[in-house]
Amino acid sequence: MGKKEAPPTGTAAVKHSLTEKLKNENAALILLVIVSMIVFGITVPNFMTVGNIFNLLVQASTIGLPAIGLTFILITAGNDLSLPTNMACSAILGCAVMQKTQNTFLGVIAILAIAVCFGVINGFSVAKLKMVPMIVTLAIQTLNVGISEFYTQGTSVGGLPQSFYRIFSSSLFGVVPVSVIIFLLTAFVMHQILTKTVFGRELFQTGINEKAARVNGVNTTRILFVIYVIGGFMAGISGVLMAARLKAAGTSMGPVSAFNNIICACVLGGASVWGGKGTILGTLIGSIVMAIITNVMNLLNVNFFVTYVVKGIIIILVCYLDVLRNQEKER
Amino acid sequence: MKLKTKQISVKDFLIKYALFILIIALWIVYGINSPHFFTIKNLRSLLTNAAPLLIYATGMTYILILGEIDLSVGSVGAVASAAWILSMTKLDVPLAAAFLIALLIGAACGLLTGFMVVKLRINAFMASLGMQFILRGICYLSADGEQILTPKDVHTFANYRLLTLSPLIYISLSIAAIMMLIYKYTAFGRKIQACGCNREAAKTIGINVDRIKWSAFIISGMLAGLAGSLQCVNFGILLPGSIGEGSEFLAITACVLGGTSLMGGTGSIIPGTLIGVIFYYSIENGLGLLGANVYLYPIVRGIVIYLAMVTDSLKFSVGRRKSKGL
Amino acid sequence: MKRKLAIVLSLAFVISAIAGCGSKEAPAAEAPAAEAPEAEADAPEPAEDSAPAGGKVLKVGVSWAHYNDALFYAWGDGMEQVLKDNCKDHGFDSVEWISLVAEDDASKQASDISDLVTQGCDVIISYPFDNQAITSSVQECKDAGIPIVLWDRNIAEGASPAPDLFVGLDTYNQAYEAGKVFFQEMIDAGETPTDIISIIGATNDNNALNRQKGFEDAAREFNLTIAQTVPSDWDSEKALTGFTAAFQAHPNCNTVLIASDFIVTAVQTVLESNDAWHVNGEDGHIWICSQDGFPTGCEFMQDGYMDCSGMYSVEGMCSDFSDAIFQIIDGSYAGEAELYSDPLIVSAKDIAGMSDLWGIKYAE
Repeated sequence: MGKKEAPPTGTAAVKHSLTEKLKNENAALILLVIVSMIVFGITVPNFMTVGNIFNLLVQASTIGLPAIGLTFILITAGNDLSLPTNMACSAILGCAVMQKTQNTFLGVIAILAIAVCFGVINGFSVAKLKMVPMIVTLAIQTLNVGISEFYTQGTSVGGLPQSFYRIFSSSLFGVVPVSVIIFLLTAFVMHQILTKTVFGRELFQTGINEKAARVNGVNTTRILFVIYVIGGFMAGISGVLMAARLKAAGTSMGPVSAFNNIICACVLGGASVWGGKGTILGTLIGSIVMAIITNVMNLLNVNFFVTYVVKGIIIILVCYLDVLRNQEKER
Repeated sequence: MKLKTKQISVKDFLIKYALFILIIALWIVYGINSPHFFTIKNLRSLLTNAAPLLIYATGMTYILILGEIDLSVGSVGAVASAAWILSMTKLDVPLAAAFLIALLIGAACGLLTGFMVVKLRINAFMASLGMQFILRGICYLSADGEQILTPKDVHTFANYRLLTLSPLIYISLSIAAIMMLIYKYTAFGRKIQACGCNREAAKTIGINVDRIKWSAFIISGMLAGLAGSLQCVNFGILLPGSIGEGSEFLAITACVLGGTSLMGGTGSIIPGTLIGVIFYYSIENGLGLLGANVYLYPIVRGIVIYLAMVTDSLKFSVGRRKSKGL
Repeated sequence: MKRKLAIVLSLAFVISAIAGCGSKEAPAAEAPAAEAPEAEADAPEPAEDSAPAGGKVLKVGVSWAHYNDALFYAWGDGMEQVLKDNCKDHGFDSVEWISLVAEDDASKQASDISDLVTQGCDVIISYPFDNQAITSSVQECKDAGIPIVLWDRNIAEGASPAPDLFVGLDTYNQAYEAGKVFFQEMIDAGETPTDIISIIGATNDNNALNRQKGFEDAAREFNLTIAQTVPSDWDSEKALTGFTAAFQAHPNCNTVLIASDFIVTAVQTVLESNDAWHVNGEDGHIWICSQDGFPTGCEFMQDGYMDCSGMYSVEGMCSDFSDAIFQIIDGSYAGEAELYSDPLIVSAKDIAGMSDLWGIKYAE
């Protein structure tokens, strides 16, 4: 990345006000999580147990890992509908490699590599060919489903080496699931990348105003390309963890509808689909909120169809909250 | 056709009409391999099946031209079709009046989404996503696990033939035509375009942007209600989980294939969106006529849409080079 | 700032209101326990301590892959009913029925089952989405000492650990037997099945693939082959477009095989527009064989449009289930671990006298 000189003061100011703003937004969400945890802890039986809390975090990690990738993409006002299907497709092909070779290391690398490949296709199409992100990724999503079903012919890829499960679906000290650790670790690294590096700064510049960023010497094509690759990589990591958790890889891992939960997590965390906004911490909390909603409704035995309605209302309320907060700041 | 106009080179021509060339190439491949593809009968059944998507996409075109997005249309269609069927079977409302109810329910849903976008200033993507969840849940709850077949009237309606064409074709094409005429020749249509191109500019010349947006959402909801009901006609049964499932993304795809920009400002219903819809349906239709392997369907669908988007993007990149003077 | 706080609090209030209204049936015995019951493997029946003093409650958790049509409602209601009817004989006073739906997402299903384990269910029933991925949930239940029953979709061949019980139907046999009866009837009626079109379910669903295989093998017995297979993804829209095209490509088709009854209305639409929707005996009748016995299917068979169906015996499955489940709970079960109920092969000419088919009962 050649240029390490101090950024122009203008950018620094933008960055400073940005982090201020984002911190503020997260505060409200964290408060919300804490309040709802306390409320649920008192009213919902079995909610505040160690087992359930880690259970919740595992559920959050399956939403959260792709959501972290999507956060990068949303900052540029892009979109990636292929995340869940990419996860399933790469897990299937990679697990097939793992099953054939019985080599855990090779299999995991294969999963990640295949997922990154799809990310590269997405990134190339959006950044180089200037295609519309939503439609490109929709096409890739269909392609993913096609490849997965064509390869598996309706079955799942099982019979993976024991060491794979031992590494990725065990628990540290018998309580902390490895997937949660990997989730939090990835979130931490990605947070550092987004907030502390030149790349992160350029990403926000691109998201806020692509033309201005280009004039400022930001290689926006490269930025756009890289974020889709990151998205693919995140899908790959979650593919590895999910295959280990389910002890198999099949098309059922990444249904198209899973995308809704992923984008909700990002937006609850303060990202905007019009670009320019988003934090990893926010997305992390957003995915925990999404997991809490499902978990609590499960524990309370709410009618399944009512859960749809409740989910919708919560999404709209949280977005409205976001609007009110912005208005207050403008005043 | 080639080379006769001004200085347009063959290359530019190819790139400009790349999408059409791709469509024609696909059709030729299908036509050569199946004698049933280029028949009036096939076109007729293709248009009948595509009618609901055409109506969804027509409403969506308005929304996209405004630079907004509406992900709730599929669920609006589901709720409206449930109201349509239930009012006929439970309340004995006649068919035409039931259509009116479906339209009203659709318009009410659009009104609500529009309210959230325009008055509460919630991002359209999220507001309509939330509505998608809520309405889908309501649709399931209202059907309550019952299997409700469409009444006899509906079958007589669906199998009524005017000049050998199904009423679904007439309804969808006339709606597309009307919406195109409104867009092109009325003040409302021009205002939509103005708002989509540049909101601030539209405001300064005295256009009530909010009202325009709100009405676009109501129109889109109303059309979604109609489209859902027509889907129900095609299915012959009220399936709360299947009606409109994924239709929002299909509608957006059809619009974009037809040249409507997701950034707003440009778009056309006829020919644009109509071609997009027919293109999408002919992919599936051709595979069915060829008797392709069942596992190939999604792969072919994905690759063809991807290629269509590649060709489409070539057009833009050429335009960009030109405007830069290269 | 005040306003912001007010908004957050009001939101929290809404959430707690949701929690409040949802929890009216759940016993208010909370007191956050420091260690979770399921954290320790092999804990003895964790549900025991959560039972209120009023009487012994049988807590049953069900995890559905999806819950979107009549068959699932019939299954769910049927199971709940037999348990309620029989629980008194086995020392339980009432049944608490917890039903979760995974929206066709294997990872959500795994989470749902974890949630059921957390709640300390006495027994967990699952209609799995992925017959391989469910093994991890079966393992989780075993570790927690909760018996698990798989419903309708069995675990993948050779996968382990096996569930405590499987109740279902051999879907290959269902289609094979129905296909044989169907083709025989056709031939008896003097028709030759030509250009057979088969509409299969989702290509990632084992039951759908088994049925296709069953149909194929039945056809082979009569020296017939399936001319074209149409994918439906269990979605009427895809079945409609696919079948429209297939029917045009095979204008001489007089036989349609369908993986499940609820798609038959889409077939009806296509046939009606081609003027080929006629009752058996009329000229131009298209012979239709389907599966499952949905109310729609029963109605069409009574009217004579559809000719044969391999139906679920929902009652049989439920009674098999209730016979075994109480013994499994108290650990005395010694019967078969896989209970396959026989499919009911019903043809249109016999259906008039049958009133105990699930589809007919459900319609009432």
